[in-house]
Amino acid sequence: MSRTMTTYRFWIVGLWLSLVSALFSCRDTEPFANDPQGNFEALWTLMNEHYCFFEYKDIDWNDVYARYKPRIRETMTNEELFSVLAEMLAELKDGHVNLVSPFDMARYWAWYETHPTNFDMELIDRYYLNRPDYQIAGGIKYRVLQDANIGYMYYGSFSSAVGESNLDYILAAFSSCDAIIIDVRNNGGGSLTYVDRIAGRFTNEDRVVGYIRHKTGPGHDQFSDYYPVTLNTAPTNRIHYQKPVAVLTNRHCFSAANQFVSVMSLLPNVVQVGDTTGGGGGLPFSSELPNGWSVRFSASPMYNANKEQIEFGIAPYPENRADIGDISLGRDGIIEKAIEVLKKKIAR
Amino acid sequence: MIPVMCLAAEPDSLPLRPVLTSTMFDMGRTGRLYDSYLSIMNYAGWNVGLRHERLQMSRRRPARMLTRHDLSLDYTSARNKPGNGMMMMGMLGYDYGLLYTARMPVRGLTLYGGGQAGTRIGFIYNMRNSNNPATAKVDARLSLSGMAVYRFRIKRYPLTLRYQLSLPVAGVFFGPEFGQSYYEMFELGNRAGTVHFGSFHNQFYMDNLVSLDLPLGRGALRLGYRNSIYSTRQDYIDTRIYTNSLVIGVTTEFITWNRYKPAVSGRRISPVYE
Repeated sequence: MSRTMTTYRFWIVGLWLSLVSALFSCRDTEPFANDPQGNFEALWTLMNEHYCFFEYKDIDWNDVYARYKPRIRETMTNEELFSVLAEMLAELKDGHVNLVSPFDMARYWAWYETHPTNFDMELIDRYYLNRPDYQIAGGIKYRVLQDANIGYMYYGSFSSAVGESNLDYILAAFSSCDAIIIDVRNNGGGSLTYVDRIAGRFTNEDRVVGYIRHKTGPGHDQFSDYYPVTLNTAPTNRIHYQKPVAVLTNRHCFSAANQFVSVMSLLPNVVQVGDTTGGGGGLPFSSELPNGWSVRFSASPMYNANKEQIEFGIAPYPENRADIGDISLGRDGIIEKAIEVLKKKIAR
Repeated sequence: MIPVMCLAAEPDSLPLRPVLTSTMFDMGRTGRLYDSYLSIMNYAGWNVGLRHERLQMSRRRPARMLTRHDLSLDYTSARNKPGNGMMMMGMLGYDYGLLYTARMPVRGLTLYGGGQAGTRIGFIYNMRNSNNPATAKVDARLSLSGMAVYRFRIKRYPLTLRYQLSLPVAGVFFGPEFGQSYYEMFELGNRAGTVHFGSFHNQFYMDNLVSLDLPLGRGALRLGYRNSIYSTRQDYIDTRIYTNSLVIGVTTEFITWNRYKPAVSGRRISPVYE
C-alpha cells in the first residue's frame, strides 16, 4: 500500500469520527423533570449545593429532604407544590431566600415582621423633614433639623442610585452642621456599590471593613479563604465629612443596608442608634426550577471586620438602643435618641 | 474562477497567490445553551452569526502551506422550556491558522491539516438573575484544524464541496469559582484562580462546516451547514452550547497588488480552486 493511500485513509477516518462525535455529543437530557418530584429534587439539590449558611445555622438539609419528600405527590396542584416548597425553604430562616411563581412569592420575613416596626415615614415627613420643605437627591431626602444644628438624611433603598454629585450637594448643605443623622430604617437593601459610595465620604483613609468568602464546590463546608472588603475613601476632590454621625437602624434594615451599618459602625465618628438590624449577610444568587419558578438564595457569606457573621443582624451598643416611642406626641424616639447622643459627642 | 492575469513569466519570479475570501451568514438553532453558573436548566433558541474567512497560500516554504484568518461573530437568544426566562449570548472570535495541503489520489480531492491559534471573547446573560446575571467567556487556544475540499463537475458546472473542522486542544480560559460572584471578582478585585489551563480534561470545542460553492459571476455562492459544540467543566461549573446553523455566503477570489513586490509570474497557486 502506498504512503499516499495510507495518509488518505487516515484523513477519511478522522473526518468520519469527528462528524459522529459531533452528532452524539449533542444528545444531552434535562437534568430534572418538570413534575412535582422533579421540581422538588431540583430545588433541594440547588440549595444543597449552593446555599452558604448550612453549617453556620446548623441545618441538617438531609433531614429536611427526608421530612418533605413524602409530602410530594404527582397529582398535587401547582399551589400545593408551591406551599410545600415554600415551607421547606423557610427552614433556612433567610430573608434572601425566595421562590417566585406567577401567583406568589415565598419569603421568610420573620426577622422584622415579629419585631416592633420602630419606623413611621409620615412622622418623619411631618415633624423632621417638615414636609414639603425638604430636598431629594439620589433618592435621599434631606434637610437640616429645625431645633438642632444637625443634618438629617433618609435613604430608603440601596436600589436608588446615588451619584457622587448627589452626595456633594447633600454634604455641602450640611457643611455647617455639627453632626449628621443617616436614617436607613426600613431600607431593605440593594446595590453594594452605593454602600461604598456613601460610606467613603466618612473616612479619610482606605480601611478593611469586612471579608467575603464564596463556595468553591457543592459541599456544605467548601469555602474560599476570607477575602478583605476594603472601603476606599472618596476621591480628594469630593466632600468628606468628619464630624459625628449617627446611623439609625431598625429590624427592617436588610442586606446592603445591613452591610452599610456594618461598615459605618467601624468608623470612629459614627454611632449606630435604634434597634438591631435585620441581617442578610449572604450575597444572593439566582436560579430556577424546571417549571420556570425562580429561586433566590444566599450564596456568598459576608463578614464584619472581625470575621464574624452578620447574617442575623448588627446590634447597637446598649446605651444607644432606642425605640420609636409614642408617635402620637409627634416625636420619633430613635431620632430624638440620636440627637441626644450626637449632642453629647459634639460637647466632648 | 477568475481571469488569470497574462503577464510575462520569469523563472525566478514570485507566483501569484490569489486570496480566497468568504463572508458567511449563519442562521440556525442553539439547541442547548446551558451554564450552571446561571441556571440549572437548559435554554434553547435561535442563533445568527457572521463570519469572514481569508485563505491564501503562504509565501513561506514549503509552498504547500495555506494561511487562514477567520473572524466570527455570534449572537444567540434563547428561552427556557416554560418560556418565562431568557438568555442571550454574544461571542466574538478570531483564529489564525497554517494548514499543510495534500493532494489525494482521488481526482479533485485535496486535504488540509494544521494548527490554529485563536481567541474568543463573549458573554452569556440571564435576564432574570440578581448577583449572577452574566458570565464572561474569554479564552485563548491552540487548535487542530483540518479541511477536505472536493472539486467536481455536474455536466460542465464546477462545484466545490468542502468539509472543515477545528478542534481546540490546549489553551487558557476565564471562569469564576463555583460560587464566586462578579462583585467579588471585579468590584473587590479577587480574581485569583479565575484563569484556567484548558484541554480535553475540562473543555471540548468543535466546529464543523460542510459547504458547497456554486460559481456565480466572478465569485461563488456558498451554501452549507455548520455544527458547533462548546463545552467546559471547571470548578463544578458546566457550560454547554450546541448550535446547528444553515450557512449562506459569498466567496470571491482576488489577487492582491504589492507595488514593491510585484508577482509577475504566470504561475498561480490558489488555496482551494485549483
